Amino acid sequence: MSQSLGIPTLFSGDAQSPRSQAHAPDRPNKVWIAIYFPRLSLEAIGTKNSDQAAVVTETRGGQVYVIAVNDASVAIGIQPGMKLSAAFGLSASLAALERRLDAERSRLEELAVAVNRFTPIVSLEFPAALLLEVSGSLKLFDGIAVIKERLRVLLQAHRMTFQMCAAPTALAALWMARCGKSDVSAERTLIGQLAEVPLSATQWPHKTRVLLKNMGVRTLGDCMRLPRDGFARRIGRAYLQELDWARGGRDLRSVFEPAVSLAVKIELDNETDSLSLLVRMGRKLVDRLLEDLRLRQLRVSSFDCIFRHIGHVDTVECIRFSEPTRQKERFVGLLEDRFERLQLVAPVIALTLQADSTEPDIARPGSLFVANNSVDPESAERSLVERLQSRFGVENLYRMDCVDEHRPEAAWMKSTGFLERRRQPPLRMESLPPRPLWLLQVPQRLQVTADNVPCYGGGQPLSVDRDPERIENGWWGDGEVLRDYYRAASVHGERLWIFQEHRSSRHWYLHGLFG
Amino acid sequence: MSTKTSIEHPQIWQGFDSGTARPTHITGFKDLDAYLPGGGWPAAALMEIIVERHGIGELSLLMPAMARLSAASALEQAGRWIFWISPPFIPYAPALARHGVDLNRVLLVHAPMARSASLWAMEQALRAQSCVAVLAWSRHADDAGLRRLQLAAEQSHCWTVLFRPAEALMQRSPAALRIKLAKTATGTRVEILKCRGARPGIVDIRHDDIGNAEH
Repeated sequence: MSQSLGIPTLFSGDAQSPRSQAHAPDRPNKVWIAIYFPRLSLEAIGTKNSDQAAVVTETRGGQVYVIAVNDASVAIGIQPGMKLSAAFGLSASLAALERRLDAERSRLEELAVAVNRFTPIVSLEFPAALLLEVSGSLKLFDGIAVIKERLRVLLQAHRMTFQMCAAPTALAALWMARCGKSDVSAERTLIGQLAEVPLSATQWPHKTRVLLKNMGVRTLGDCMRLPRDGFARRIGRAYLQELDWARGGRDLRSVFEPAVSLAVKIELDNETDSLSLLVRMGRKLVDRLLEDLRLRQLRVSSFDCIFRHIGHVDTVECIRFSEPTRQKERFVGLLEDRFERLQLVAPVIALTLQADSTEPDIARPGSLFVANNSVDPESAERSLVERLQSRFGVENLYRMDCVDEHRPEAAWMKSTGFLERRRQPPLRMESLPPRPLWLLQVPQRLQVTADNVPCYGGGQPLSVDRDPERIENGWWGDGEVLRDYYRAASVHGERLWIFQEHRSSRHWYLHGLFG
Repeated sequence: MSTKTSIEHPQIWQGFDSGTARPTHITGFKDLDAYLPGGGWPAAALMEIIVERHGIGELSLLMPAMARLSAASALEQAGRWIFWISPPFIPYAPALARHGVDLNRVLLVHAPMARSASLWAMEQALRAQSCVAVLAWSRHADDAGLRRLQLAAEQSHCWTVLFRPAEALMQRSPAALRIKLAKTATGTRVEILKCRGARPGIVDIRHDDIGNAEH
């Protein structure tokens, strides 16, 4: 979205200057706001009483360190980086909480969703920061100052401690937010302001920072004064790249996209086990779910039907589509099929439809003059396949392809590519004797009479044709086969395809019927 | 009102009337084509085949029509699939291909032989309007179910073939065509038990005809 909003700047006064065009022809001016949450690990866990000194701890190399502190702890002199034992020395009533990364992550995601209203481009910077690219929103919100003010109000409402900084590049904004510097308002002052940033703000690994410290490097400005090739060789190419990004090189950051989970629910006053009522509820819920999906321009590839019982575990039925969709007929069709065969352990008190696997619905261009009642044949095929798979199992619905193989049972294979058309291998067997239209999945052993004539259907001997067809594959095959195939007829008129084995035994088997 | 005008009343069904052109699929067997009204299998209707045993030529009988169907473009037809539902054995792909059936259009489902599963699958297939032919094997079919199938087959213009065991002879059938197959010394006997627009009768098909049937 920033790209599309960035295009008009080609015609704005700024982009027309030859310098900026030559400098960054494909990079419209970006405005990044970094929000750093120094106490995220504490605030994510949440302490109820802010008067009590509380710290969050992390174990590193067998020692427990304080990594975040609240105001009450600061007041008695506890600092991040202290050992926990030292902190307890300052206050015996200290509440020491263990760090919870999952809580930090979900709090950060929650905040990302909250700031999403200012720009669609929000990126999570673990462990404790958010990056917003707001160049596309400047006009809407009437300038960066307004956006920052609104962010401030929002974050205070979320009871977060934060430091905010705006800069033309993402990394510069992030680093400067971490050390609490003021905004970079113009691109030409960026390098100068960046030079004052202490190394600690980069959060490069401790070892790297110690190495640089020993070289007398304390700020980013010191870093930038080092020769590039030497820096890349001795410190690492990745860090040189970060410096370049901070100074205005390309920076590819993944945009945070909140996973949208939709759920609609009907609760009943009384329990029910009436199927028709459940189906009606299901239909109603499908309508609501589809409306939600339509508003958000989303489609789903599966959804769960959750039946709540009293005193029993929920029954969950997952309904899958062959591809993401928002078509009502497909929702209702699969839902009804599934409900009809439902086995419920107990009556139902509430029904929820929940869709977790959503994705953006990209509309396909349609024809302007389409009759309303015409059915797209491909979607009809797909929905038929879906319903059959849903009822009989994916493995029981298939297409067939020929395989160039000697053994009859291996001369075909199942295929589930329903909508593609495959070129069949040329039929080499035109010259072979006829093959039966029916094949038995597993050859069926036949009884024999006293003079070794095979029998079928109630012990009646078969009349077997004389010329056998020998089918064998060599020792290199995975199943060794040496068989003589005969055509035979039973007294009832069945025409059969039987073989006599010549490997380990001389048994007779039925392998097919000439239907 | 004369007798003639009252007979022409639209609500009076005139038996043995081959004038009402119903679409058909050429069977590929001369005698059979000559016998059946419209010169072939009823293309948009339910047809029942009663077989006591498998392997007596019940599939060969359908192969010429199936090959012809699968050769025609799917766009000109009501749908694409030739759909096999609950066949008793595996239709052998190399043999089908050799009969000229395009395997790209063959779809197969092993629905359990339970009471209604295969009829349900048939109805789904017909309603979806994406099949040009449906072949199904079922042990049980009730009157109402068959009636629905017959209706769905007409509406979807789908050649619908239901294979049933001999017990089904005890039951009336709404199918447009009902035949029973038996083996003879020289080939297959097609006994036409019920046929919309023709009298019941018997047509014998010889082995040679099956081999040489026009595809």
